[in-house]
Amino acid sequence: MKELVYQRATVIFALLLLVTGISFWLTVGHGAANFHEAKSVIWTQVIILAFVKVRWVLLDFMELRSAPMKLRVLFEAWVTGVAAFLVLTDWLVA
Amino acid sequence: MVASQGTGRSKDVTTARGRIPAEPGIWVFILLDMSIFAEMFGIYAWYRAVDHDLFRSSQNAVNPLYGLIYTLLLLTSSWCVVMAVSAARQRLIELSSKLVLWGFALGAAFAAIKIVEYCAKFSAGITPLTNNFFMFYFVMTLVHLLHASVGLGVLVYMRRQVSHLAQSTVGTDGRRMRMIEVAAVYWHMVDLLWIVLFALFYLRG
Repeated sequence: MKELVYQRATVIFALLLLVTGISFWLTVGHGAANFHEAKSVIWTQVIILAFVKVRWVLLDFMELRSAPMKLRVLFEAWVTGVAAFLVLTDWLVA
Repeated sequence: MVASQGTGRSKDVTTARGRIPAEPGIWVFILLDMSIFAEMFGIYAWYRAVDHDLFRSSQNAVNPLYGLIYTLLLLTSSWCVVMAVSAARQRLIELSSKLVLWGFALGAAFAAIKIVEYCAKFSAGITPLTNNFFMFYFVMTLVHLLHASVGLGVLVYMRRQVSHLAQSTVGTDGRRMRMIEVAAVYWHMVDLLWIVLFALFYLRG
């Protein structure tokens, strides 16, 4: 069991929990009070943190880190493209 | 392609630049499915940007603690499934089977609490027809819940494949292992999509 736990994916799992906690604190906790002053900044932080987590799941849980570059690039493009669209829509359309 | 292992219809695809996890076909499915969700995320973001005040005020009716609990359940479930795949590779059949069961139990808890949350919304008079925010909220989280429900079935299949690993012959062993990986990849996609939904609907962004 120890050998299973002591692997990169466990470190990633801990990081996923940490970033989830940070996102929650930034918005529901601390950040909520300052919402009206910097709503696009908070949205940007939330989206970027979410897609950092998505990328970790793709690379380390779904094992794309060791996959051929072409396959990895497809999913990295999905992460970058969707995150960029969500962030830019808020800054440019709102 | 420089190497191909296993026998039967499906083969372990390894190229000079890396190994394709599970089966190539599952990645086509995953990419298409994620593209459909990307479209939904984009349309949601557009509507939210156009009518920010409505989305912001409606979001106050969504309890963020539910979102946090779902996220912790699915992340932990995914981690169990990662360890289950590692255990299966080492032919620790019993341990792998238990880990898949834990992954299933956490996923089932996610689905059960989601239904409780839906019921609470309906009893408070909130439906998909309430406004645009709740239309997106119900449609997107329900589509995700359907994916999670299919995923629970996939985890049952994964557990069967793990238990059959013990009786596998050299010929079927590689194929079973790849089917286990296919199931794991699908379940991680369910987790991955939830991470975005959590940010869109539950965090006060």
